[in-house]
Amino acid sequence: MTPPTQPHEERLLDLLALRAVEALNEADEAAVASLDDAAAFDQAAAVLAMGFSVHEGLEPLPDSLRRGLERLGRDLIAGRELGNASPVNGVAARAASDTVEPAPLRFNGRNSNQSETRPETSSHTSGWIGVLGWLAAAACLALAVIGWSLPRDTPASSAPASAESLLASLETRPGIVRTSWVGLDAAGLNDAAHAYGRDLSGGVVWDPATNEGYMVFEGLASNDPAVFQYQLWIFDETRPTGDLPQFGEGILSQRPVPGAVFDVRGDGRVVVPVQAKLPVGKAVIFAVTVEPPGGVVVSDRDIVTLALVN
Amino acid sequence: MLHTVRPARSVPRDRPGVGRCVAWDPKERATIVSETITQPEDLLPSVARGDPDAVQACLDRYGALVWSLARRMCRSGADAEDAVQEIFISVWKNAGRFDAEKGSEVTFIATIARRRLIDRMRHAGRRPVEANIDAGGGMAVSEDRVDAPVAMRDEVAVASRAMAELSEEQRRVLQMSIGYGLSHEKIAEATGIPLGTVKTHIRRGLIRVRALLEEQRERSNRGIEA
Repeated sequence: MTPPTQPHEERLLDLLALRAVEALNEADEAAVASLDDAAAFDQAAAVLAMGFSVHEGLEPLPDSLRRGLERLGRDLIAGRELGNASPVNGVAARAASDTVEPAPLRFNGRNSNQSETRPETSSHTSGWIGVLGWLAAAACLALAVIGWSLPRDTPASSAPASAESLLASLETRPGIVRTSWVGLDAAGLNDAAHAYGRDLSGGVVWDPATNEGYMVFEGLASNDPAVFQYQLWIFDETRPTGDLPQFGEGILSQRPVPGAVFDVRGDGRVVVPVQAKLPVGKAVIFAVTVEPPGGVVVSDRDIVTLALVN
Repeated sequence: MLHTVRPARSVPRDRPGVGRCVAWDPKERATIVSETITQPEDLLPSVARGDPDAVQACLDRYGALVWSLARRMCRSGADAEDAVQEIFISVWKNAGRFDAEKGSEVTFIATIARRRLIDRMRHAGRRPVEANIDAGGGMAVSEDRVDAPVAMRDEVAVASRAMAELSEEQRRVLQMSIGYGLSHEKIAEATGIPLGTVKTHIRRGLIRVRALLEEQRERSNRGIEA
């Protein structure tokens, strides 16, 4: 049986428990932070948080974030001043000084060379909002989504035969979704679309049940993988919205599910597996962006093309 | 059936090796010798000595955990990325403070991660997004072992054991608070549970886990199996 506790002990336990899950005011924090019990409560909360995370499934560290952390780690081990050695210097300096402030900076695994060699496109905000405006004005696009069928009689395929055969197999399944890339450059509102996908055709075949799918492109510009790569994003109606309000409202403000990072060689037909990195409940938009080599976690959304699921 | 694996701490955790391991019997709540597993070598001492490979290994071993914790407690992916950077820098810079006698390496790192995340929430003056909260209480209460990374098995076992002792309501409150960073008030509002009860559930859950961790630590330090 637990011995009865005194009122001040109750108060202390309340404070320690509260501190382990939320922030205390400065006076309370100063009073209890150095207590051994505070560390013990912190550890208990950490172990429970670990348990919840493991039971729900750990998400792998995104590749671009991982690369940035590796750079930070190397800088740290090399004894360099983190604040001068890293593209995340603001964050690094804050952590190094143990002064936690809201972090306005972030990196997406990019470096300055990549940014410089990458062809200029519109800013992410204007580009995406341009897409939105165009989409709003072009309601008839939905018609183009319906009934599209992937052309398969185009010669000079640059896609592996296996991708073609897997695509053909997927197309025979019941319940699959077919949707077309829309010509964003037609409205002259998106520079990335104009630069890379001006004469683009093709679309996406997607199996909602299995999350398998293939993208087909004809006319998508070739890329130098050392300079930039294409990346697919999937907007999922079942995922939370509002993570990235700078890109739009509703579904467009969500953090989309990243898909394949891929290259295009030559001018022919290209078939690319979708490779959704997370489960997709209900895909409503497939969007292809131009990104630095290796892809990113948070895109600036220089949209090349997108496909709407009816 | 093997339910939960935990090492006999006669082999210090900061040294690699194969130890005799024990598993819980879920009914008896006693430990029995079951199998052997290889404990991963602690990395932070090597980080503190300036070993670049240890930094990489640290990301390999704990990157997914830190990222997952951050994703649950940050409003956006960008926030989570910033938080993860802060956390790892803090972990590496404080690697020399890690003391295996006071807790495991993964607990040390998860504790730093949570304090950073809580600080960020306080400074930002906001709460994380309320999403994906399972009304059923979240963590499985089955004693079956989940596929936890080796470096976290002991801790996940402690969490599972504590959760198995709680009611569904208590589990749910703990998950909303600790798993997703929701405030006491928000939990009370969302669940209809009185605020005082919410606080009590959280406090009792933490105290129980603290006791289990202490028990585990004592057993480890004595290097005995019950």
